[in-house]
Amino acid sequence: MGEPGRALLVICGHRGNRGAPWADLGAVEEIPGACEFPERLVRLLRSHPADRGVLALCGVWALPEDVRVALRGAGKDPEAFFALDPWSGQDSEAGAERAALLIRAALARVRVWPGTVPANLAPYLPERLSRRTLLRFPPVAYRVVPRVERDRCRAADGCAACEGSCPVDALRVAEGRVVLDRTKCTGCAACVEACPHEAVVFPGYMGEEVAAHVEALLDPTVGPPGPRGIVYVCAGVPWDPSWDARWLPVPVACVSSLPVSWILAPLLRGASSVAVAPCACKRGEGARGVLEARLEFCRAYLGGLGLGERRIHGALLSVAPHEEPALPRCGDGEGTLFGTGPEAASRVLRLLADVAGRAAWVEHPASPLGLVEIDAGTCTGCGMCAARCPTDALSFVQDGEAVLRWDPARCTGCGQCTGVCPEIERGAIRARRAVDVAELRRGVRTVYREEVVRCVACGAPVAPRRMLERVTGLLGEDGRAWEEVLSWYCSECRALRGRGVGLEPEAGA
Amino acid sequence: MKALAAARHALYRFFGLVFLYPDPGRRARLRRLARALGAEKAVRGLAFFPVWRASWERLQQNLGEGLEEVYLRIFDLTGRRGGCSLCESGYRDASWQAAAELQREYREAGVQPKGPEPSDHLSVELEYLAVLVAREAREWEAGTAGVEEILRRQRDFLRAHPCAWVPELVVRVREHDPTGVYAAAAEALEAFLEHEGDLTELLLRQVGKVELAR
Repeated sequence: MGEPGRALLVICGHRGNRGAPWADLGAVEEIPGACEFPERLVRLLRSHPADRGVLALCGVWALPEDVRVALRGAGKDPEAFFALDPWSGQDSEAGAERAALLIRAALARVRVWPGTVPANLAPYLPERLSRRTLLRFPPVAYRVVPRVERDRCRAADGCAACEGSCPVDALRVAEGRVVLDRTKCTGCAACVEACPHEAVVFPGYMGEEVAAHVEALLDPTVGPPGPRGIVYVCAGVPWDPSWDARWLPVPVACVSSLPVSWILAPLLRGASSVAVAPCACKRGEGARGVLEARLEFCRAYLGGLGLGERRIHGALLSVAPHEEPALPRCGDGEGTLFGTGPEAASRVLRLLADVAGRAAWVEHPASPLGLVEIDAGTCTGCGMCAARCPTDALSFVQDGEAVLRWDPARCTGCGQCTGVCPEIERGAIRARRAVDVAELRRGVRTVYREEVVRCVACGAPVAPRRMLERVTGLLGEDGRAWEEVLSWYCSECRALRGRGVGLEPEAGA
Repeated sequence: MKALAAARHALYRFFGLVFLYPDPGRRARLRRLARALGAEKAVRGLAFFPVWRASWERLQQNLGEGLEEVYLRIFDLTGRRGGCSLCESGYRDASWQAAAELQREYREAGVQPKGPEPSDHLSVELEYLAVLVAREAREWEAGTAGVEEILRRQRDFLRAHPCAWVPELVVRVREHDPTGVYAAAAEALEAFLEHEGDLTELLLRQVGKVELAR
């Protein structure tokens, strides 16, 4: 028996023996006939002190519902038990080595399992209820869905970046809160990447899990030699034996909305190529086309850097991973490469450019980053774009000067800034979905700077000079009469002292 | 489904009892109810069961006389706004509105709250839901004809009342409860109510599809 909190490894009695390469992995239990007699498995899982584990069983890719119910009844999180058949279609000696690698990676993943809370579990009922169904105990089953972490969510500040992302309209922003209808949610994960603050928590689709899994699969000290390819697959879907065994599977809740950073990051950690198996779970049916566009962006970016667009594969998994040597491993100490927000994407894209020793400029609708251009001659420095920016890529400070700064590593090109700009028709701001490596390397920069006029009465800032000029210009002939009132006093002093035109500054001001 | 409804009925009664003043009689009833719920297969498979179990274990450890003092220290029985009130009116802008709406709801459903607790007390709202779920269980037995109306009433009541203010109650209990006992119970209740909201919605969508042929 393992220690409490430790991961349990259950090996099918058909395959297991203690001399096998997984003997050193901690609590290993062999259950003869675990595949055919789930009650033996249930007995072990209920009584074992481990709260998470890997179940390596022949032909089992998802935990049976009765095992889940039993685990829940024992106060355990059934989703923390990862089922896989690492031997599927691999009976050779190399197959055993690969199986050991897959088991190690699954263990590395369950060790960082974030845990599900009831808000992550959406109940569902059989498609058709019959009297027979009604007699089952209970007739309700669950699927894991995302939840929104209120502490991280910025909906109260006006962010609505996730709202349009849901293909089944399960998500809406109301009264400064994101409301998710779990009964509608399919778990396609489109909202996860749409949230620039990483406030959507979706166990089975978290960056830390995927990073741990990929890192373990690419550990050069274990497993078979030769190039390794990472293939993302929908969780619970069996391995297709026609696929080349050099592809190493990383299951995620659904592949249909896979972030660009996840597609490209394995190339920086030792994978010669990355593939995404076609969505087989049907959760992402509403998000059709999203993945294809992202894969296309990744290929265009790698092509632009001269790193080989063939490193990114679509559905053709019967072919071997790319034979070209893997890129040099990098990214240690750089922060996570497997985040879902813009910072992780910019890190991955910049590191790839560093490896290539080149710069690239790629404009694409699926680009995870964006470019904002400010026409400093037209911008009046109102700061509304910065107030609206959901990622704080634009920040505005008004003190002695009005300063607008832009961070290319945070910009997603969402265009919300252009929607609020009062000078948009004069071309003050432009946003596009594009990556410019030169901008990423340059980092945060000032895109607008202007002197701020101060109140002659109290010294408080009034507005940037250009804004005042623009307002008086718009007022036309009348503007000249208003000019002094507008540019001499802050709004407070204007309200206190002003009675319209003719206001004079205090003597000595 | 009848067994599931019966289990849900017991859960509503359990939570209703948890948030009443824990005199010795109620503490004994809680123990009996929890024992029965823990052994109930229909409850053990539900998503929030691990949370319910953890909260019960915590409550059970503190189920002595000291719990009465803890209860009085946490909950504001005067219904003052901003305090940790167990009444819905402590969480609504127009405090009179909740009581009026609830009186109308109970009257329409043909029930009359007994006891000293106000009509918008958490335990009264939960007891009312227990009554509706008990009716639902009877309707499942008779067929599905009357189930839809009862489910709709449950769903609408959940949305308009406990689901609208219990999340804020959880925040306030966490702030006021140094022992964590009632905070855990409130969190378990929130999980249960969310689950009830989902379940009634799902059942409503599918109740018309039940094949009655044997």
